[in-house]
Amino acid sequence: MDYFTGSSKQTMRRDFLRIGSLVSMGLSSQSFLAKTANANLPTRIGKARSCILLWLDGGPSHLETFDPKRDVPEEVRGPFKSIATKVPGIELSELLPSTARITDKLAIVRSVTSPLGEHGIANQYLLTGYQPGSPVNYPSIGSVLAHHRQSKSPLPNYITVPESRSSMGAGFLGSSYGPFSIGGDPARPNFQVRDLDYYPGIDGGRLSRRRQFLQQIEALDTDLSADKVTLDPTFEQAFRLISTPEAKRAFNLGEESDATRGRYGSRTFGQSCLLARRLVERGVGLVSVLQTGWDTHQNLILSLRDGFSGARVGVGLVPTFDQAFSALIEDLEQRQLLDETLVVAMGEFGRTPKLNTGGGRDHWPRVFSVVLAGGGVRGGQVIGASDRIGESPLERPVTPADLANTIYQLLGIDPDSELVTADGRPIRINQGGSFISEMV
Amino acid sequence: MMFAVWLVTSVLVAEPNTLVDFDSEIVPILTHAGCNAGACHGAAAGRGGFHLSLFGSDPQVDYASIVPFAEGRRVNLVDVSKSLILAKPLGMLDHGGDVVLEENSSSVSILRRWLEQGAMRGPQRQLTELRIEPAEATFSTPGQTMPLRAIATFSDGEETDVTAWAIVHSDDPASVEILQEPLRVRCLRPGQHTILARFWNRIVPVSIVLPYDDRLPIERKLETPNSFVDSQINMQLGKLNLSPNETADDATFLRRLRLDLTGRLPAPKELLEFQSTTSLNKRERMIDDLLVSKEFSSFWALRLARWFQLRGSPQEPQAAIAYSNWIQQSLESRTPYSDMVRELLTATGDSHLVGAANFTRTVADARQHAELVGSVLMGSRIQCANCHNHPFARWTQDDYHGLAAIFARFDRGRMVSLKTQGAVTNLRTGESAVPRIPGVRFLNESEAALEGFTNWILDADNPHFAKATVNRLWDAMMGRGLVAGVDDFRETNPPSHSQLLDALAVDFIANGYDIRRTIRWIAMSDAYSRRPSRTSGKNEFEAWYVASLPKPLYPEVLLDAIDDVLELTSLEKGESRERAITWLDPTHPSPDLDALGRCSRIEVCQSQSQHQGLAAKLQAINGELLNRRIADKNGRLQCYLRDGMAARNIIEDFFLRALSKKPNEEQIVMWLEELGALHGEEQKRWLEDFVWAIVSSEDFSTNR
Repeated sequence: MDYFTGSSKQTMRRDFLRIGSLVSMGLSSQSFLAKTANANLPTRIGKARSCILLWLDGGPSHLETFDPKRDVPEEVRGPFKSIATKVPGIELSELLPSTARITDKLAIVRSVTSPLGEHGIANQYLLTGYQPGSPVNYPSIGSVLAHHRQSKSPLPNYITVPESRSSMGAGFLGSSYGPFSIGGDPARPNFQVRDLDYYPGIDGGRLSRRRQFLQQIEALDTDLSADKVTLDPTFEQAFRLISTPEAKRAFNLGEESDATRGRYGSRTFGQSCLLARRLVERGVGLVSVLQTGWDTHQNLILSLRDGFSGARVGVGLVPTFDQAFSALIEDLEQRQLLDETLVVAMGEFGRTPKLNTGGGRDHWPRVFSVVLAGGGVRGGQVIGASDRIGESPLERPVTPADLANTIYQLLGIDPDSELVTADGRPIRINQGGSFISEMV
Repeated sequence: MMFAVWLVTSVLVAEPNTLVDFDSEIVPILTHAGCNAGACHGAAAGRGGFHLSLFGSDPQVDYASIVPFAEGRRVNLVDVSKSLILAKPLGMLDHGGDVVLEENSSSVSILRRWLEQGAMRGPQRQLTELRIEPAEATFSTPGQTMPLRAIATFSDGEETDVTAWAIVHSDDPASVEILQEPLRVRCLRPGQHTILARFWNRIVPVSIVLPYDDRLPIERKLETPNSFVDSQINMQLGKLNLSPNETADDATFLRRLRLDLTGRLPAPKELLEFQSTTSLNKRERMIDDLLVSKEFSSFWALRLARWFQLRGSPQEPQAAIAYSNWIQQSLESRTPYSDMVRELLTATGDSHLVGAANFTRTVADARQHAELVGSVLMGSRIQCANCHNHPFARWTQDDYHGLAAIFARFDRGRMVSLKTQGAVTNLRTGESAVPRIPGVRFLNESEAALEGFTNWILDADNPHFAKATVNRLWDAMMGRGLVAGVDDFRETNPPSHSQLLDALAVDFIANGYDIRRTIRWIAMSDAYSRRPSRTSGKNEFEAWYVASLPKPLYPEVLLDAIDDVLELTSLEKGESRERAITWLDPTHPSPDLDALGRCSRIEVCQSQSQHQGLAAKLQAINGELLNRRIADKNGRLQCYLRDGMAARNIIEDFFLRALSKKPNEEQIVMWLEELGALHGEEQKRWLEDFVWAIVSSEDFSTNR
């Protein structure tokens, strides 16, 4: 008797409903679900080979970035003004002048909505496409990509710069699909990734022998011969990475010109974005770059614009983001990588439409903004809208599940295909989300 | 459908003339229809200007919102159908939430009657009990369905079938499916699953059991249980038709026991002696010997330091020392755990001398103090109740702020003391929180709040403390709590073996809160001694203890093990080495421990080491941690080589020392053949690589 008889019937039923919705989207079921035969796909889906995810940790205020409001009371508008951009009709915060020049490359979703207002659970929702709360520990988008795609390069397929958050992990897929955190600070002059070079006295030959001995030891309690033992995939990856000098050079920012490094900005976030570009250039699937500090409950002027008291030139969160983000997009375009690199900038929620008594804004998941570019995304557009004061979605609400679904499809991953947990449970890569068709 | 409506209506309403009760009939209707969910009108800011309490937790607020507010348009007593409270959900007027009620439903007819009767708020009866029948549903084949009924008992004594307004949710729809009209549950996969049934503002778990296929080969019949622990575990295994692994061999058992009780590997000599002894009760004797050893106190001091989130500050190293010493000495002298806790809660004085007073200094303020107390002593995460009542957790804002108020008078400087005044603001009322024993009662002004709380938590009838404590002990020994998540006791997360948890708690209370006694019960059980599972990865049977569960080692234990294997022991060296497990303070400088992912205690320690990714493997291969020790000319390998020890003996020694394994002759010969004729520097490098592989293996860093 097959224990899964019941559940597979259910799966078939869900598939049937899902197929129905795919058909209504103008995609025939057979052609989409067959990964190899992409001939019938609209030509712009599945173009992205890599993704750079700029994770704006803490929940960036939509009103001070991508969804500024004009004719509203001061306590809604906040301390900054709006400016026109390269695209007529689209305005951004005055703190994003460089981004305003490349707005024709961007798709700005202004109606993202979520019910989750606490950092931990909201992070999970945005980074996995699933709301937490069930016994299943869902994998992040990066881990799903790492699992889906066998990397030919010895570089890990999923890298976080400079560090991860717990929601960026592999969940039930197991730690071998977790991100490789490079650690350290790419902005420092002596930055290097730890432990990539041989310990004195060790060489390639000894490395191979160590690996072989590990197999022999793991084989002891089993009936397998040593060469049939599969080692921890993370160990295998480590062995490969160490023995490939070319892969290691990816992390060497010294190979970039001063001009390029300067263009991105000298702070951690800027240099991290530059490193991300180097990594996707060499075939890494997903690089997540972390910018912390967006949880601005107090004093927006200080945290978002100035960076420190008395700054004459703003070096706060938004100017830093503005410089690095625009540099990244322009750099990718110049190197003809933009079409195959999806860039996503998002945080876990937005911030309250009305300023609080500390001159800041508090958590607000009900409506916020997310920006996408490259990888087949049609730039120069705004998708959805928030209402007059940025409080609720006005039209075309988009959930984090929809975002995840869209990112997966742009990367050529079928969101309906199933992963399997260690105890045999089938879990869809994405559940409950729909592709944002305006994106392409 | 009409018949069903009529039937339900007649069950719910005794006579048409009875007054509809707002609290216990209207509010559940709104809850069932989803009106007061967080995504709709139950949101903190409401929706469309209409605010209801989340999931009906506050009928007073709800009544006010519906009846007097909005200029009374929500209820129209002249023309009932025009009431917004009907028109909107029926879709007669534009409603952001669309159509949520149907005209021909019992919900609507009750709403109408309430309106026709004048939309009053009656005697405000409360829901005293929600019962689901059956509380535990046992199936025999996958795909079967079973009906469910929900029975509510109210404070006026009335018992009513409320199945029509019960909301049943399955977290795991691949295992259990919920079907509507009539309400049924269908089990799809074997195991014991929990679904949640809620009515109005109460939620109860329902157990769904489907035994595993009895055509699976039964390896062993369940043995006669040797204690109440095994009889409960075996009963559950029998219910699910699972057969457990056999007992682990002596070497596996001793390594596990030593790591669990003393945080160190068994020495080779000890292991060989243990294996060769033939006495029948050698395991029992070993357990007893280890429980009274100094090593037990040292290691469990580290465990308790993690529970209490002990963390030193660089400006006041003496405080952490006093705290560590106090924990260590209390364990050595077998102080009852209840006495330790009494000191932790009430100790005052110079924290550099009074170790226990540092518990109060661990936290920055009264709210954090309440959260730490909730986590350690009550097994509960109460932090959500800071800002709102969680509808289904037992803790309310009054509970949270009231508990914080109990700790509000502390001065947390070096001289810990109780000031005459101190308060926290209750975010719900905006006023000073009244000290409150959570879930029970407010403390009145004449009572000393701290003493009142302490007496309550340590009272033999307290429902939280003993269970939370024995659950932590069980989790430490077995790798999984009877309640999964040692600080996650809640109605919706029931224990896997609730009678066992109760029995362990009762035994703990009745015998002086002696943690060694409970640990002994666990260590002596068959369930503890099982052979490890052969499959890797998470196993779906882990809650039933079919096999022993692998437990990752604390970074401190792992570092000590690495040192024990790669460096000479103190006995051999003639000088003692400080063991990492004695550094209870995580700020004690140790780059090696940081590299291994030591818990900083700033937050609750994760039981799973996060240090498993690529960075950890790179470090194992190229980093200092292992390589430096292997090459150390005063390290074990280099000393053995200088002493002229034969390669065979070196290989055997490292296997035994690190993995508690003795390779058989065939395996030794295979290793020696690999080594071949290498000698001198070449042989040294070969052995270094061998030793590296031993301490990098999964078997080494896992307690199976």
